[in-house]
Amino acid sequence: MCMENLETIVEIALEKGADYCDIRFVINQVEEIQVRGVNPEKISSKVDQGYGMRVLYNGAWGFAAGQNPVTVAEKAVKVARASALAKKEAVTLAEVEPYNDSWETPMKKDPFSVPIEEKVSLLLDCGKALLEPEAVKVSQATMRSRKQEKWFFSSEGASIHQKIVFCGAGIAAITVEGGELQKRSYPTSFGGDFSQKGYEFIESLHLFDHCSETAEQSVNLLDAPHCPSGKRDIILESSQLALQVHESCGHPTELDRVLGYEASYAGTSFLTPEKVGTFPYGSLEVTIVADSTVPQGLGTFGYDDEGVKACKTVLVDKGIFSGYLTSRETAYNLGEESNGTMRATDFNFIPLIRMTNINLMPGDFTFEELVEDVKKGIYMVTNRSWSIDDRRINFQFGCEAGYVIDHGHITDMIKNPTYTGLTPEFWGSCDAVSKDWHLWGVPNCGKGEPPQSMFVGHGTAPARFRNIQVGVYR
Amino acid sequence: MNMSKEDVLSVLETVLSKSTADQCETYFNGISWGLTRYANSYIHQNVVEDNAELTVRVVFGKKVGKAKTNQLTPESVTEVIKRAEKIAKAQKEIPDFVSLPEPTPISSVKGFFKETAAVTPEDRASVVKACLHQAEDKGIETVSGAYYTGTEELAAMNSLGIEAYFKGTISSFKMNARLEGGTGLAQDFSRNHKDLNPEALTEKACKKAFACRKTEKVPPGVYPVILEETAVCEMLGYLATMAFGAQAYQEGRSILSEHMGEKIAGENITIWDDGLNEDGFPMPFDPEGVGKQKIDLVSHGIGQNVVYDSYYAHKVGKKSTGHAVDLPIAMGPLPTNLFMEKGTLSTDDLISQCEKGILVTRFHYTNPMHRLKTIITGMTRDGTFLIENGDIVKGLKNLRFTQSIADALNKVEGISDTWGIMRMEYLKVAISAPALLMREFTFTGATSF
Repeated sequence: MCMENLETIVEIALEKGADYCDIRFVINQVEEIQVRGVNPEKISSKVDQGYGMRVLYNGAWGFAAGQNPVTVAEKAVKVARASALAKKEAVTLAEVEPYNDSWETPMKKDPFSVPIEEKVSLLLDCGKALLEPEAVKVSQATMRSRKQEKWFFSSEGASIHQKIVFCGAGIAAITVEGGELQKRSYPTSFGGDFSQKGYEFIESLHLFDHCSETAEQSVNLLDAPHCPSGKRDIILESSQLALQVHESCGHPTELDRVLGYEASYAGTSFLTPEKVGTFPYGSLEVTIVADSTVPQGLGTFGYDDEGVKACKTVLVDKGIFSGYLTSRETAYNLGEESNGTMRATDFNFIPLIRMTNINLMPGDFTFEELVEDVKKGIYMVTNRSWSIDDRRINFQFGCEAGYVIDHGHITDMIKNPTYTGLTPEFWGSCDAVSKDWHLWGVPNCGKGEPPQSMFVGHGTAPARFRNIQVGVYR
Repeated sequence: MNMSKEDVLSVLETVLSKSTADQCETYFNGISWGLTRYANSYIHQNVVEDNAELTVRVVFGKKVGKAKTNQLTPESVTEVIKRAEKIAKAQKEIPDFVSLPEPTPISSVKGFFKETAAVTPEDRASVVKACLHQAEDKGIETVSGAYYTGTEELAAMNSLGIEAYFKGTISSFKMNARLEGGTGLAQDFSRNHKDLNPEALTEKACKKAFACRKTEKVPPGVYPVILEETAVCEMLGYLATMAFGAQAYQEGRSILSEHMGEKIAGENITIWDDGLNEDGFPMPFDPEGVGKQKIDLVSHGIGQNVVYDSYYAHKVGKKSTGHAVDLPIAMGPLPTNLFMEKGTLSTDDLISQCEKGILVTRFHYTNPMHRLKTIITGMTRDGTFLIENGDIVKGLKNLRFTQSIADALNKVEGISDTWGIMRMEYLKVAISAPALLMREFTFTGATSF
């Protein structure tokens, strides 16, 4: 692929009347390996490619995707002309410097260069080891690698080439007995942890070394007491907190949601524009940033899919709501520049405002110090379920396991832990964040119509929340 | 896409002829569609896509490899076969794998409508524009939604003799109306876009938005509830993934694992899957090319069957029921055209039978909390109402529910004589369900809106 080809296609769209257009040519390579018990049930390799073009015609958007770039350009203009039939105000884009640049994931060992035999053997060894306790009925060991190479060219002269690679893996043991079903996962649930690194990341997880402990915990959960109901102080392990940040800060700070673009599907947001700079989102301990420059995050890149350079934006500053994730179109509405969060999952999707790496900044506490100051509480680990309303206020999470905290000591394991709350109250109750910060990779954030599954990052550290409702369960 | 049936089948034949594997299966999944999305009362996103994916699965003994491409040139077809074979050869044996499926009868269904395939972006924009004006004339502040139409083309072949081809059309219209904080939703899905009635859906959504303008709060608790069709479809979808697939069943993770042949719902509850039923989204075969048939899942409250693909069927000496799904996550087989039996009452009858309760239009962001116990949690949205003495008396602020689906289906006191339909395009799963009056439903939280 050369940029001259894309430039030619852009010229075709302009000749057909486009005011603005950009085109992406994308090649995706995805490898998925899934072992269930002793069966390597799925080993799949997917390669796809194509063109996706966005066009503004008379201030209205059109998008087309396909294999023939000329047809794609013609259709994109046609669609934009149709959009103009039901237009209110002309779309205006915030200014951006038209960069001519390239960016690539730094890595030591390309995951696609590692022999499949080696990967399958590792996962099969894990699958078998997890099954050792008799009570474990199902074991899962999974690995996923993705390489996305994309070329971007805009009618404003931007010309950007990027190659982004990430991979990740995880294991899980499921126990079923007497009407009870329990699961423990490592390093976290829903496929494990992911990072924008090479295969060295998967090696660093030492999956096999964690099989015994993971299986044992899933067995122990069967006979553990249920999570009590009532108000408790809770400490959330960092991967659970990653999802809490994702749902209650990441999504509500997406400016397209705030402006109603997602109203009929994912919903809107309680973080309306008049709240910027004044609204008490959380306690003084809570500072949350969007950072697409932090190394190894799944939301890290050189430029977004509008050609805006990666950057860092403060969303919550010492508890005060401070800013949004924006695009060129939405930023213009607020009189700002875009902070570069527009991404499309593949060539055949339009870019949307997506979380980059939405990170809770670490505090000064050790984990032990978090626990020491809890008289009656629960430590909850690893997400099992999640739900939040369409304005991102009322949430309820379930975790795989909990541990009672009694006068500063972690004691008994409990099963089916859940907690619920309202976003600003919950973050307002945060009185300590530890310094044990980890950047989690979440490869399956859903948004948009047609639905897109995006890869995002969340840097978090265990944190303590006071007087939270726990044990919502029937 | 722009390929004829003959072109598509020719590509699949090429795959089979070039593969050196013991067994080979190939699947074509093409899409040509457009989706017009509107918000703040204008079209803000408008997309068209043409794409086709070719999947090749090869078998050497008990070693299986799978590869996909969206390039259909002769070179690309050769490359994807080689890639699948390379994976299979490098793979370890799958002890439980027996064979690809044998051919089965494949019924003919009507799923293609020329006029739906011919809908243009201008046509969609015109419909949206008319609905925007309709809502505006009614005094609605802002509307949002989506209108899509298109064609899907599926074909499967394997070296054991399976050959299957289907071309169908898809369409959906959704309207969400908003007024003074109240919102109302109406949507419909059909293979024939002429079955959609955007004007009537707009009317319904606006009516709901007006009715829940000034909402009041009720405390969480256990209430009688009327779930409208959309809410029941959502609930049934979760039950399907948790309970009706052979993977969950065989692994002991389904409520049916311990209760097959037993009562899991009220006697008035009957649920089945039927890929051939044209009332839903008919699709005559699965990605393995196995013909679909009617499978009773729950009859009069008694658990009857789960659905199978060839892998999970062969593990237990059964035949596939034609319910393989092609997803990134290996979830095992799933129902794809699911139905709950209708009753004899209108929704108004259900309301009039309810002395005091809550009417729910739809749920939002629902997720399983305990799969074996079929417990889910989520929020109500876009029209939650208080019913008193058989009448809707006011709109309510949204509520969080935490509820076992099986428990709820044991307490159904009335079933509507209508089906609402919902289709999840990315899963190619459709659900048709009536509205239900339930004696008890547990709400565990509330919002301020």
